[in-house]
Amino acid sequence: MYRFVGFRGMPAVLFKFLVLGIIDIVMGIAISSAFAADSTILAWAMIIAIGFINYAYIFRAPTPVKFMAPGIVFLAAFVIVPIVYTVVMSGFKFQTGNIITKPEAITQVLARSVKADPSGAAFDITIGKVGNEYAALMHNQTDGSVSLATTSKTTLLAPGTYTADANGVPTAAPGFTPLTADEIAALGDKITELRFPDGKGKYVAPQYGTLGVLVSQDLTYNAKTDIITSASTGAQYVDNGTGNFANKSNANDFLTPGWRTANFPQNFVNLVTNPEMRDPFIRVFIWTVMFAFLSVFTTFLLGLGLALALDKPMRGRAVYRSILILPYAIPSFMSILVWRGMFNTDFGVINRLLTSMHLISSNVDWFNSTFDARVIVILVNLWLGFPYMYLISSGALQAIPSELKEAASIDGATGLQSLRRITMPLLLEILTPLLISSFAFNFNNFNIIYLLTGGGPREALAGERAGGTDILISYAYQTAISAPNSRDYGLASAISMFMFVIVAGLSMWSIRRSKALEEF
Amino acid sequence: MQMRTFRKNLWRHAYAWVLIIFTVFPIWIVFTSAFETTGTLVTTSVFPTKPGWSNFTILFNSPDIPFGAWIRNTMIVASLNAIISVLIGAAAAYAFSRLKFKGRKVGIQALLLIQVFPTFLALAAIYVIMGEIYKVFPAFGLGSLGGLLLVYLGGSMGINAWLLKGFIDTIPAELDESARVDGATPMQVYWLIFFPLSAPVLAVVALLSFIGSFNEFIMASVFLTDPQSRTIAVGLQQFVGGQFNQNWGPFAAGSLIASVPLVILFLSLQKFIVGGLTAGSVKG
Amino acid sequence: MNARKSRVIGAAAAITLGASALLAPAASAANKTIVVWTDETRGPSLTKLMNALPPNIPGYEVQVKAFSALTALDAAWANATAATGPDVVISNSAYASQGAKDGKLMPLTLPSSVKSKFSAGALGTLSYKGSLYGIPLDMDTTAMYVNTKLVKVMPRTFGDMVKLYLKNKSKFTAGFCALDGVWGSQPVITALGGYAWGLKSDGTANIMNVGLDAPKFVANFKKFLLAKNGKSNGFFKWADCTPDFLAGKIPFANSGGWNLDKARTSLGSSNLKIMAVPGVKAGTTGAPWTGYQGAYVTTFSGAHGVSAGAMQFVIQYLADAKTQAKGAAFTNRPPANLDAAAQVTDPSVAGFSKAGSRGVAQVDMYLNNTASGANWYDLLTDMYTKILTKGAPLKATLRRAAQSAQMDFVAGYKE
Repeated sequence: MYRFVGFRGMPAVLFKFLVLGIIDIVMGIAISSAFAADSTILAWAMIIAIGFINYAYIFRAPTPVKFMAPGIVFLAAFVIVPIVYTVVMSGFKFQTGNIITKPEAITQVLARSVKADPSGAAFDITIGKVGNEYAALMHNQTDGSVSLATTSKTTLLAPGTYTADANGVPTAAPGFTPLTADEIAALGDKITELRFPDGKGKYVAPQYGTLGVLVSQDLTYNAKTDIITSASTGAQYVDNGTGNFANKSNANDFLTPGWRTANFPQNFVNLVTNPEMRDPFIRVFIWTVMFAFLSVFTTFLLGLGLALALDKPMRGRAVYRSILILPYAIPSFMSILVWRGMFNTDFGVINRLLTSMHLISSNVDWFNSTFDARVIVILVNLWLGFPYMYLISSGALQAIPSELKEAASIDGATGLQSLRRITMPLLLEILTPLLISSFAFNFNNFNIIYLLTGGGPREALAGERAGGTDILISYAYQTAISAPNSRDYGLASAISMFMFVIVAGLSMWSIRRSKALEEF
Repeated sequence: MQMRTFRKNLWRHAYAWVLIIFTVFPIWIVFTSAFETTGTLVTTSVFPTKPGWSNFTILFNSPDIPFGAWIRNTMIVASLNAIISVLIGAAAAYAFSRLKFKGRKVGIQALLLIQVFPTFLALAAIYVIMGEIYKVFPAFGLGSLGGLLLVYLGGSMGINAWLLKGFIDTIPAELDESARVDGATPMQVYWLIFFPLSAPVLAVVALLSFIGSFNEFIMASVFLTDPQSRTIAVGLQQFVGGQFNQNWGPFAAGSLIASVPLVILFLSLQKFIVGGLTAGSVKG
Repeated sequence: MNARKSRVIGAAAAITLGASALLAPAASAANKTIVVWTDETRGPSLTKLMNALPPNIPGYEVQVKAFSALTALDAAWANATAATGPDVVISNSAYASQGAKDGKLMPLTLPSSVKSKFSAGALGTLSYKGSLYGIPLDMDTTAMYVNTKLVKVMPRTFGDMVKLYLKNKSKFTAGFCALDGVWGSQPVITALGGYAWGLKSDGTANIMNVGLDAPKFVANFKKFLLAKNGKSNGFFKWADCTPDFLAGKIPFANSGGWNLDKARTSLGSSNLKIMAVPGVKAGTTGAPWTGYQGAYVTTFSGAHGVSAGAMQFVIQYLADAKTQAKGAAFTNRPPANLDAAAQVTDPSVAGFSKAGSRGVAQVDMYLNNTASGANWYDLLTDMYTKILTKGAPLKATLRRAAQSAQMDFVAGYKE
């Protein structure tokens, strides 16, 4: 009997630990650099991942865990976490104007209330220290006066009490030690946080190492009460619950920028109730289903026909087959772009051909009519998809026991009858799961829409928000990512959720129906 | 006799020929455009009016089109993704296919669900994650091929494990079982018996995975910003986008170059690929 | 040594090695880097400029990243986070309001010595809610390119151009090509008597007066752009016509300095003249949009600890007259700094400058608003397509477009 000999015992164990050790070292360096870069979340994620890997291979974890550990790590990091994030975001107001977090928003609201003094006074400055305190020698660009300012007070210097360079910019004064260029560079952005008060409620703020501007700050934030107060108007701004600080007495007066904030289930409610969102959504949804169905239907019809036609040994079959699966072998993004070029209004070969055959008198702008564009999308998808259907149909045809067909022909059934009564039902039984997953694929077939029509045409004048060939995924993409000035990640996440539920439901249903799970 | 069979099969030939014309039409257009040197538009002539290599010269010499870099990038990302994801995915698939354990059914269902989620709609989330990584390891973060590879690996894990499971189910279990009887651990059986045995199958899944990342467009277009670091898909799309007339010839030439190796690979591995496609269906 | 023992030792070794790596010190960089994002036309000219006139910011290096197209820059900018985002971004004026709303841009405080070097209009287009977000670099404006090989006598009126085209219809594939799409078609609209918005007596936009359906415009549109069948007479094109213009098959085009080098290479410098789009009556001209390219300091620069350096780069270097005057040689665009503009001698740049001086300030908050379902540019695309290629009724379509545009403008104003 077969005797198992192999790589086992000590050498195998040592090899395992060598590999594991290398991985641990690499990850250890990675984790320490993550901590060094203040990226604690990433560091902890990596610690969990490496901990899991070590557990799996050192501590006698269950065998399946050993097999799946690396896969689980990748799946968790790049698929599951993003999915969870998307689910969470669908419950957020997360759109243009409400992108950052609340602390970031507060910092920026305050920064924006720093206004240059109307006088526009600016100072050439030299940063240094007086004792231990940061100080600046400041040369007023307007009146040429020179003063020495610390973070607590400013003193005017009389001419002759300081040294200045050729431009009149002071470089040295008694008691003042200028910082070296290296020290300034090392100080970095801390320079911009220095404030030199002028004693009249305003202060000089360095913009960088050599320029200071006279500014005043209008807004102040009280962390305890979570209220922002304006010094000039006395208005109080409070968190309005929808991601902005708004004036207590006038809800329409709010401060920008806002922050992203939880608003579940507003995005979903909007999808259903707000006509501006609902109407395009419904239209797009209907076309998405139509598109996915028609794509599967046409490709399957053509592919099945081909499988039946080439089911018998015949001359040239191998050649036919090789040519006919070409669309499946050619990278699809290229084929789609080629088709788009072929339908180009002015230069496309289709218009040229039709013109030369005198079928059209002037060039047709194919992608400008919703109907034409939809037909083209289906046609191109047919070209791309029928070889796959042919391949799976012919595979399935071969799997049908030939005894069955023979039995039918003995019973006197004609070819067509046996096809209709015996072959087709069996074929459909076999192929249904694949057809359903093909439907799911086309439901989310972003590439063909984006590359072929870009979702268009869109009746912009009629106020349409979605194009005639937009399917849900391209519509969500446009909503979230490509719209130039009104991105809505929250809404797009809600649409994604919707699509996910449909596609996942379909897949589950098909799996259960085919009872495949019981066989696993 | 021969003639009679031919006549009997006439409709079969006719059907095939109609489809062949449909199939070959755009391919032929790409051929003629690639070798057309008149420098303008798509022509309707069947053959290039002035055949030559000028489009290919433009493709490789124009500083705006780092075509060589695109090919290299695509090859690196697509092949690394194919190899690594099959290595990792096959192990998981093997566990699902051969080992009996608690939670197996749930695991398979979860895998199935995860792989139908349109990953790129989680783009915002992936962006945040890759941004974090970029802070620490620029080579694996946003804008880098390494980062794109990580995203592809995560994205293809589910589908590859699923596909491989279908394959592995069709491989008879007797061999590894006999080894188990001999006292080998499941890991040993996997690496020493199963893996060499199923190498051709794994190669096919790797090829499918390769084609998948070769075709991937949207992630690459959002992730890779530097012209030098693009993949072919993004490079050619941006190159031809909107300027069909001007760049059509070089685009056709580029498409041809990029497609030919894939097509050859595909046709020579036809049998295995077809086997893989139908494996899932036949047992259903 | 049995297997169990070796397992324990191996585990200990692997974990120790990993842990020791934790202690490895992280490397620190010497000079801090300011990362600048921009697009494919701006990037190379900025690099050339910085080679010719190094910025010299002590303690900082400047690194330019040029995206392949404005759309690529837009996409990357939209998704930029503190981890990946740039410290400075250079792009069109639409970035000001957009970036300010999203909290991605830092407000800039300028000393009056710098402020006085720019026109109020230039600073205004880069401001949002009273704060300035960008330093104006140069004018985004257009003028008409005339291929003098095809045009012997410079046109004095719009009608001259149409006449020339109709006479040579067999030779030309179109008469006039807006190289930059609908944005660049603005001087045609204005030359024919249309306008996006009227102007109040103080020179600000009167958004209640949208002039896409102004009677004069309707009449001129019909007279100059339509054939008898109500569709385009072939004169005006706004898409897919760039190659034909460069191939010498279209006599007139409209674009800014960014296409000048390309056009000079294709047509020959001596065969190109830059002028304003002539109006219906001799002596009048169309008014292009005038926006400004801005250099914006991002809030991400604060997260990277280089905001002081970025400010210095933008305020001290990019805003400077010497820099902008030198930059104009590489960009062919009229500089925004008034001192620099006075130094420009290139006749083409002067041509753009002149056309721009009659332009209309582009208010992105109005033009980019999508309250009607589409922004100004999408509306124009649809309008042109409907009228010129589909032959939709002229007056009704223009009215429809005007109504939609007004919806956008009002919503943009309220923001």
